[in-house]
Amino acid sequence: MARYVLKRLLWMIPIALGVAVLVFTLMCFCPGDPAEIILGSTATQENLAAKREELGLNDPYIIRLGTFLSDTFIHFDLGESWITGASVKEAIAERLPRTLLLSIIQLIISFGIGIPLGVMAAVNQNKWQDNLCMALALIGISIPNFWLALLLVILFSVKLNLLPAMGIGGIEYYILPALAGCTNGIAAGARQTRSSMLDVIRSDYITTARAKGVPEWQVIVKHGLKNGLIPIITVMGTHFGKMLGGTMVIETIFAIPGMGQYIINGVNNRDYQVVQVGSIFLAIAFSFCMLAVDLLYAAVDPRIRARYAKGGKRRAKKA
Amino acid sequence: MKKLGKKLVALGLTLSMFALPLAGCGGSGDGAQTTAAGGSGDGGAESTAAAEVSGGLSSLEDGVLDIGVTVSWETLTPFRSNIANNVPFAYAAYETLAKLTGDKEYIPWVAKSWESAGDGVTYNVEIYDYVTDSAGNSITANDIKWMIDESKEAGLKPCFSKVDHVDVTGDYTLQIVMTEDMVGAFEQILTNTFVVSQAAYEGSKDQFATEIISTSSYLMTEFVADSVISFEKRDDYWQKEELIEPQNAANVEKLSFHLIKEASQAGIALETKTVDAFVQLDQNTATQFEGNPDFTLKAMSYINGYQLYFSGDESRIITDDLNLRQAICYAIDTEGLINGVFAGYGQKMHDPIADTSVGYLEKWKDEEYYDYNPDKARELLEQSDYNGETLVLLATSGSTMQRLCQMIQGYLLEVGINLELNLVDTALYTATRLDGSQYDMTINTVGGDSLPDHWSIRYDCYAYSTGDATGRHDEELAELLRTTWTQAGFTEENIDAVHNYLKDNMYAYGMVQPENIDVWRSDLGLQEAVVTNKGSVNCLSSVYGE
Amino acid sequence: MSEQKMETEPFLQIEDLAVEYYSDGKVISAVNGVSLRLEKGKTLGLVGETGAGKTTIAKSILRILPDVGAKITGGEVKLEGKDLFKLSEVEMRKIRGNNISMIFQDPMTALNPVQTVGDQIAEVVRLHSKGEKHDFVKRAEEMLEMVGIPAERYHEYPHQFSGGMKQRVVIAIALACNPDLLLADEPTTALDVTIQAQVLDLIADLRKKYNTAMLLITHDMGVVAQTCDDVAVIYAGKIIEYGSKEQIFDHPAHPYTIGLFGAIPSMSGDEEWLHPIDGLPPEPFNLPKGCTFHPRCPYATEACRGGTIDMRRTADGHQCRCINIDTVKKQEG
Repeated sequence: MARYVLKRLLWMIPIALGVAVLVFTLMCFCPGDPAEIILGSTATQENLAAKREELGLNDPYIIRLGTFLSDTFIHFDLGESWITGASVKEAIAERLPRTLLLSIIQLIISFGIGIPLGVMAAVNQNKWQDNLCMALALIGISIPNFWLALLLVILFSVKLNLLPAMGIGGIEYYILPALAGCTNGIAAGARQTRSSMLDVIRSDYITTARAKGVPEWQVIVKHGLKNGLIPIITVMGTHFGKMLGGTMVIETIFAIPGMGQYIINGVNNRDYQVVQVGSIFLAIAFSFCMLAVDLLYAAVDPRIRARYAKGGKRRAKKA
Repeated sequence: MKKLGKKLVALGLTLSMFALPLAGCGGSGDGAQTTAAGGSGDGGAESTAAAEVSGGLSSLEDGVLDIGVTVSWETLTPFRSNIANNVPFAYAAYETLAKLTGDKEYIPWVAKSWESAGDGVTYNVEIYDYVTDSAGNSITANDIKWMIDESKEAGLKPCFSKVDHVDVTGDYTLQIVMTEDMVGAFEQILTNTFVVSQAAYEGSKDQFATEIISTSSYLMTEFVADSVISFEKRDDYWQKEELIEPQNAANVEKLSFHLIKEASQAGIALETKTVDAFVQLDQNTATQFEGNPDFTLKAMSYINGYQLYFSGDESRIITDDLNLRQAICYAIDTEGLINGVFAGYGQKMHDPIADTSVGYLEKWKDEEYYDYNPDKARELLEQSDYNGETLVLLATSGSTMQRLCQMIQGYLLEVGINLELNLVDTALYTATRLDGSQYDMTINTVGGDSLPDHWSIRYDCYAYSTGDATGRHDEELAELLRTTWTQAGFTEENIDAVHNYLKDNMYAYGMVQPENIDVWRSDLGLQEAVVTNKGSVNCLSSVYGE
Repeated sequence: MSEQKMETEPFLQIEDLAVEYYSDGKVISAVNGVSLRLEKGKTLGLVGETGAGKTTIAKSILRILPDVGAKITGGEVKLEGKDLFKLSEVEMRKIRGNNISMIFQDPMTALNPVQTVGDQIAEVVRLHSKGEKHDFVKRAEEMLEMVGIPAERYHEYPHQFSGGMKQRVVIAIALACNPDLLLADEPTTALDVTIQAQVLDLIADLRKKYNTAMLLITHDMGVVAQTCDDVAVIYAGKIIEYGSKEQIFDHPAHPYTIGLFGAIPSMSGDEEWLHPIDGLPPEPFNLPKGCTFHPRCPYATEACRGGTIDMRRTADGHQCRCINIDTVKKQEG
């Protein structure tokens, strides 16, 4: 098992490298001159030329790529933002935790609500509970996040004065943003859970459990849900990955300086350093997320655990 | 049948999802029926239901004046580009040698006095000899020289590249030599040089990225990049009470600036008292506070106007067709634009440059300047060589610009001119704007502290390799421009000559100068608002009640 | 069939059980008025083809038919006089796994893949007895040993066992709480013959130890011969022959039963061809009127095609649902 984890961690290095090269190349061939954006329209030709030279924009692609890769991966020098001059390392160190926290809370709320909805729908297939749950899921997917965000702010901040409308601080600042962004996740979780559970509920071991006299809710959760978790975990994983990158709208509305805004602003300003390094961090964060998903599989399903441990540990005795 | 029913329900839900937000948007738009306090004028109008101004800073519950802003700094370094240069807290963070007020006056700050040596490029500056920063370091002429040299080296603000060299002539005096005699260039150095002790900067662990030591009367107490920055007034400020100019006063004990980019959230922040005031509130959001006695609005002329530039590249049909250009100008209803895009907060322009620029002649406001006249437009269109071709308008893709362009497209279509919109993101715009062969017209918001700043980057055919900013090669205009650039040549006569030349040839059309709106709670008792040269209220120096 | 004394209640009594399935708007009569009796400690073999309704009967006793699509539409099931159909769900749960347990057909899918085998046994113990966790674990280990699996394998998962071992675990689960009645649904069908013998022996030993009654569902006459006291033959949801093992094996009366025996290849003598029963089992939603077997019956007469066919008593005293048993008997000799 430890070998499996180690192997996956090592794999992150080529992934990060690959993302770095890909993003770097894309930014290179994007039209738009960073020097002009930094210096503004009052700059003279000389100013611009000097700036371009300083940023190394005149060097050939290979040299620039090489410099970037060696700076980032060998010296761990993440550089400064071309536009603001702020240290990228500092900025990411501050912003990534906020985005992560927001995404994690969203994930917990989404699946905390989505999984029970899906279970209820599956257990009462085709009855009114099923239709209600799926209707709720549909509403969840259809609601635009920014609309919901503003509604929540009006209700909880302006009218009820319970939660802050924007900004960062303690955990209460993340509740409304998480609620506004979680509706997609609820829908995804509910649908996948329902589908998974429908499969599982027809299984023979469910009948065995009932025949043992296990109470019905235990049959559903302990015997049923636990077996149906694998596809649900997969959906959670990909959803989390999407959220890491996609919280930009929520971050803007709630004035949370996070990774989403950081990178999008970087793209708009052709701030190469920010976009490149930011993308690498997101890629690594996503890789960890996928690793967590795979480890969760192992935690839930002993057959997968055995597969990971294969080739190293002594084989389990067969009858 | 059940399945069909389910599908209909789903469809119905989806449609109502689309309809509701549209209904919501429409609703709030209609709600702003009160007329805006816009219109031409200087300083701008104030609107509040109460005639008397009562209240004061003691009404602040937590003793902190919370101000909402739409731009912020990611790092506090004194070496900055022009991006986010005009944040409302810039002057709380650092002082400069001099300050340009809203009345277009240069007032001394750290520099006691300055004078020109006469040759147009040499200037002598004297700073106060008792300037200290919050750590007790004394500021000498060496610190100023160091800052100017380093800024020039960093190459972030183009104005510093116009400095040839700086010499220290005494403990508190220095001589600045510019590269050429150009109006406003030296003043730009005065207003852009942040005063910082070299020793303090070099002793800082992160080069003032998150913590600063400056000469300002405020101490920075909290900084979260792109979110919050807080200040507290210090009691060991170096300047003598009687010598502090009103525009440099520090009348608030504690301030906190919060970055809120989303327009509706800005309104909510004011409503929920998360902020006590907001600088540069979106015009459409501001309308919800009109007529509300709890809030005071102030609309001031903004430093940039929206200008329409015609391409000067030989390949476009519009370049040599004066009638067509004039037709377009008459076809555009600028009042309509002010109401449709800026909720009435704006004024019509009389020259491509904004009236806040140094050198702008007030008398231009009495001139006739292409008032909305679709009949005249059609007449001129007849006389022109236009044959129904589709013209291309290049602009950035922000929502305000989009609305503006769509309205213009509508106006031109009315008189029979076909327009295609090419809206691109900022970076792509920056890359394309100088290439006049890519468009017939482009909309931009080019400002400038003084007229020559603006002219030199737009109409000078020697400025870029391709000609002027739209690819035009008008040497006669370049001549006229250059006469105004020098100190001596910066006369009303010469300025007027350029203005008239531009008007006769219609190379550019000044459309709308939007108003900047600042809002604050009436119980703050703001009695006298100090207006900056950026068209905003200086919250630190304004006079409040007790 | 052993003469029944009406005074003593039989241990298990199924009276007129009727179960319907619903699928695609069609109603399928899976079990059509089935009546059975079982004494304590005895084995009743329930024989029939696939789809005859055997598993349905077993699941009905435990009331674990799927909620959607299946319904018990009539009859009574009495365990020691108590009508199980009248019990609440909570009371029924106390009986499941405790007084009545079930062994399922396919051991490969009958166990929960994500739970250790030991825990699965301990779970049924925990549900039906008081005590601490270590008590349950101990009992589970005992059961493992009893079925021939070393107790160290408590913490292993089903996928680490072979089919035969898995079935042993299923048996361990079923017998952990010393049930009075064991429902064995084709417990050896999915296993190979050598393992089959082991499993049957195991079941027999345990039953002897605890005096458990068993309802053994199978389609294998050999297994019936080895383990059962009484036999009921079921066809299309109805019992068509019912008697003791000796009676059924020595004097089968129903044409279907005769056909079943005839289809078994003889170990003595040369057989070139197998003798299957002609035709196919009827569509469950479209049962033939009268005797459901008549389309395939070589002895069918006009009278067989209509009306209800009741149970008749045969010469040696067992029951048979055929109006022509005399004719059949004569022909078979």
